[in-house]
Amino acid sequence: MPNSTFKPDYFQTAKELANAHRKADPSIQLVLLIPDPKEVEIKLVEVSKSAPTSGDVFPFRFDPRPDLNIHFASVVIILSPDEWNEVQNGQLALPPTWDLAIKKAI
Amino acid sequence: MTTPRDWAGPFLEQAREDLRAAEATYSSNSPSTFCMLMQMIFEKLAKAALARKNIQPPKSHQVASRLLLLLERTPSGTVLPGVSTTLAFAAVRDLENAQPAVVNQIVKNGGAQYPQLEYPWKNPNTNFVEWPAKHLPIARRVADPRDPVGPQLLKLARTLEARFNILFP
Repeated sequence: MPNSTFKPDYFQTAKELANAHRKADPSIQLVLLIPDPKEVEIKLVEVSKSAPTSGDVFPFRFDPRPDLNIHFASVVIILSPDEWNEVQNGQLALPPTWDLAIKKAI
Repeated sequence: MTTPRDWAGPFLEQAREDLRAAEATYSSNSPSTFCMLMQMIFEKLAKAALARKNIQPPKSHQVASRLLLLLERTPSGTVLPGVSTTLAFAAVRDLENAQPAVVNQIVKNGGAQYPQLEYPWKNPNTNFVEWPAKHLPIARRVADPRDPVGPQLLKLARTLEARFNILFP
């Protein structure tokens, strides 16, 4: 019988995704969650020493995967350390809805 | 008279078009098609790189691995941080090994049938016919939100395309 009270945990899922990515790429230095107030989409900025410097920002989107216990859509932006510095200096912009003012390191 | 270098620009331009298609495809939730396009992109970037070095691009599909060897030997500063790109480089090699002509050659040489891009194959262990959208390991990884291989492949391809003239003058 389906559990109608089941409510997946948005922040816990974000942490699980971040940890899985760190495990796959141990050179990730920083993972930031840009929280979605509606808790529909998990937006992650990942700064990795293994990332090449393309000089641009490209969000990579994943569908929810309930079969893998991932109940939220997720979007990942991978940045090299140089690109992260440029984002912080205002030389490189994240997409408009990605507000760094509300970021959470996870 | 056409020189090998004359092939560099056309291969690069075609890789750019494939890259635009890959970027559109991944968001339409077609991971195996995304993988097929990524294999095509790295193959064409490899042929463009060889042409820039005045080497006639081979007809072979087993050329992306040569691009990786070139990159490992190319001083690129922080554009490509060398050995730390292991995850994406390994995925490029997986894509090359799944190219149908490469798989056919492996089978012809007595190797085991490997899951391939684009076409179904018969799994010799189960005798079931399998297909890339459901069974190709690299496509399954690309569709898994826990695995960053898709974003890393795309990041590498975008970097090579954007910085091609710096890496391969």
